[in-house]
Amino acid sequence: MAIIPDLVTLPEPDGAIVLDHATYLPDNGNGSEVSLPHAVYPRISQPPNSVRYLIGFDLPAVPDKDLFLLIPSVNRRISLEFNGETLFGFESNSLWIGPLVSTPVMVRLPRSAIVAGRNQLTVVVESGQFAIPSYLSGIYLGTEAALASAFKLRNFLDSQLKTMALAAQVLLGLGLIFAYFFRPKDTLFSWLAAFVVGGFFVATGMFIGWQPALQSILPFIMILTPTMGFLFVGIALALINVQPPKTLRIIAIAVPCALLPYAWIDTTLTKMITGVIAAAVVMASCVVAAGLIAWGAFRQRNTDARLMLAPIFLMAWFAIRDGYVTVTLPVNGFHLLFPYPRPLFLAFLTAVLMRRLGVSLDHFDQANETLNAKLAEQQAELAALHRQERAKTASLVREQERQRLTHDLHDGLSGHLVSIIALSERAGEKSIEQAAREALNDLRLVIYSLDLGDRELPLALANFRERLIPQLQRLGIKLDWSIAGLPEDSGVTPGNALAVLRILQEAITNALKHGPARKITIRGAPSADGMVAITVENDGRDFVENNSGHGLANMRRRAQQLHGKLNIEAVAQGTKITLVLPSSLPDFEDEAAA
Amino acid sequence: MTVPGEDTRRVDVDKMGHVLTQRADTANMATHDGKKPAVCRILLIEDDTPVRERLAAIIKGWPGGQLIAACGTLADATVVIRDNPIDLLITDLNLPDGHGVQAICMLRNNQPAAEAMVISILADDRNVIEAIEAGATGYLLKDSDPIDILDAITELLAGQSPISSTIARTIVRRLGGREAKSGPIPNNVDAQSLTPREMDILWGIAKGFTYGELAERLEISKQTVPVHIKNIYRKLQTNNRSEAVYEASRRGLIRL
Repeated sequence: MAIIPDLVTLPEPDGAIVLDHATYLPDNGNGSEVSLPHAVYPRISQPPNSVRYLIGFDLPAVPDKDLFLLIPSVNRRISLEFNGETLFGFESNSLWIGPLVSTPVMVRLPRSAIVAGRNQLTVVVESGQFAIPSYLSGIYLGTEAALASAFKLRNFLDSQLKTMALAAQVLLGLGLIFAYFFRPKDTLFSWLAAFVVGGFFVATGMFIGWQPALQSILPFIMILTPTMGFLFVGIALALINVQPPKTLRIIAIAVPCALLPYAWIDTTLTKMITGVIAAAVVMASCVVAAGLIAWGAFRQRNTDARLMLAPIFLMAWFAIRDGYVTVTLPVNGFHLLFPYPRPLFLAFLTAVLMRRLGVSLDHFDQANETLNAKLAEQQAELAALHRQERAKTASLVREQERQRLTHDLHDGLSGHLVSIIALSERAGEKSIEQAAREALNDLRLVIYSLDLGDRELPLALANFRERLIPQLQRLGIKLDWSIAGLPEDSGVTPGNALAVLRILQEAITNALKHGPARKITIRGAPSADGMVAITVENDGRDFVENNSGHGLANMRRRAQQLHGKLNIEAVAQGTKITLVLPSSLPDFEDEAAA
Repeated sequence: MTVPGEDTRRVDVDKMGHVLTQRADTANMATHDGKKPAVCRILLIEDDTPVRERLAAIIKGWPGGQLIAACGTLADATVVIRDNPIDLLITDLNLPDGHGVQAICMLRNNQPAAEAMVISILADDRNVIEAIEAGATGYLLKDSDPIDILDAITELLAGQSPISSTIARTIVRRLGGREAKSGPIPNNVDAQSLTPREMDILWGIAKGFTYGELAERLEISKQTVPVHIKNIYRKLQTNNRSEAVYEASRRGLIRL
């Protein structure tokens, strides 16, 4: 990967003179001819404070306009002398210049300083530190028009974009610190917050060009750099939803602590050592993080990992590439690429965080919906329980009422009726006896139906049969009864069961009144359309034509109340009454309430 | 409530249990061997005069029976039960000075071989089952026709007991309420003592089947259904013996 050439080559300025040969003159050393670009390691034994490049060029005549010098890329502060005159001092360098921030420099060569013939340019480059070579690219000489666009492009990419990235990092960092404070248990937030805090400190390295005194913090920034690498691995783990191991945290704290003496001593050697360690850790971390993210993206199919794949892959690639070029110092260029993917990294990190926010909100909504649904379910359950409870209470009340009624009837009314029956029987008062018996039967009809539960229509009919048998026996009428085929009917309540029994009672009464029946047949069976049909057939006279109308109207009204149908037809011998009931009987009480 | 001469009827549980077993055996023998007394000696307890007189007249008119006494109160009946041999007690439940169940318990203690039958206006399940647990094996509706009344008495003496669907339902519920057809017989003491056939019959009647339909379904004779019913009543009674004793003691009928 490292030997893959740079992805993008920035356009060279047109119409400019290229100065690519120089006499290289270290502070304490002998001069040698070098070609530009040129990179040089700081020497450990006798640290040079700076290196000089002497560049001579010939101009046929003094030009009409001011000329400009463009140095596309330097990574240390430089100063320029032209024909013995200082054009550009160390203090004129960009604020942002530093080992990792190459910047272009463009300087005006005043006409007054230019001479016809040999001109001498001296470039002084501050010595490299922290194992990163100092670097001087080739130099272009030309008019402002020829150089400006190349300068602006490089200035934007190298200087302004990095500043913007810093601003973005500050903004995102503040957001992440808040996020961490609001949700400290979130692994990603806590690692990102630590990364951001460390990043703020490391970023102060960008300001060392501001005051020479700031140079003294550089060693401390350097010993913190490995921590950034470890935090980066932690972030990668958190992104693929793996809890970073505790040892990673310990190492992230222990390494800078262990390196603290080096920063304190601060010699060129210690700078070299900390620089190498930092570079090695950062490179290794980037590779490990890229591996983790790739695993998350492809094996786990983790969307966050997929989003982060491109920037982290670029960072790992550039880290290795930068390491490689730092070691080999290729003739054609030494330009560190590692800082460039940072805006991309920040952009995608923002995307990941926003996605997580969106997903969380979605989950929140879903949880809300689920909770609402559950709540509604529970409320419905509660309401059902309440209804059941009410029904239970109602049935309890009914039961109590029935008991009271039974008791009263036992002691009172029914006792009197039985007495009347006994007395009238003795006195031979047949009609009184009959009336009293009918009254007693009706009372029983009411009392028994009070005790009925759901699906107990057969029981109600059996009660009816048990009372009907002696009644018909007295009259010498045969009862043919079979309701074994009756389909089950639900929704049976005392009210609707009583209505069914009254219809049957009326049918029997009619049969007894109008036709001298010898046999009454009662059948329970499923009707043609799957409903519940009860038929009462008598072999007496057909009473359809000559009935008073009152009884039949009552039967019809009751059948209607039951959502049923009543059919009365004359058959070959007698009358057939068919009562068809729905398979679920309506509750009169509910209907009354509605 | 105290009963006159209660000291003479003080019994302990063991003795009572023994007595009850004997009584059941005697009753069974009577049923199976057909050794019925030539004339059934009947005691009638009914507080309502017209009804009492009506029932008394019906019994008097029956050649198979002999009315020993027709009492209007529990106190009167107690004296009769103590002093006279009785084959059948026909009693109302609500009496001015007590409850018909007390008369049944008393009869059971004094004359274990005698049958008991309650007369009720409604034949409602609670009263009838209470009487069955006390030892009654039959019941009558007060307004029944003379023929029906005599039929019921004859059937009872022949070892057959009536049952209504409501009463069957209540018994089924008490035994655990499950349908004998669809599952094993409920695992409790009461139900264990009932045979599967008896459970089938109870369940069928509770579902509203007629004796005829039930007999057809179970492939038994229609006449054996009421015999099974009487056996069921007996089991309900014996199974609730200690309960009945407790109940009797609570009512002040016997002293433990």
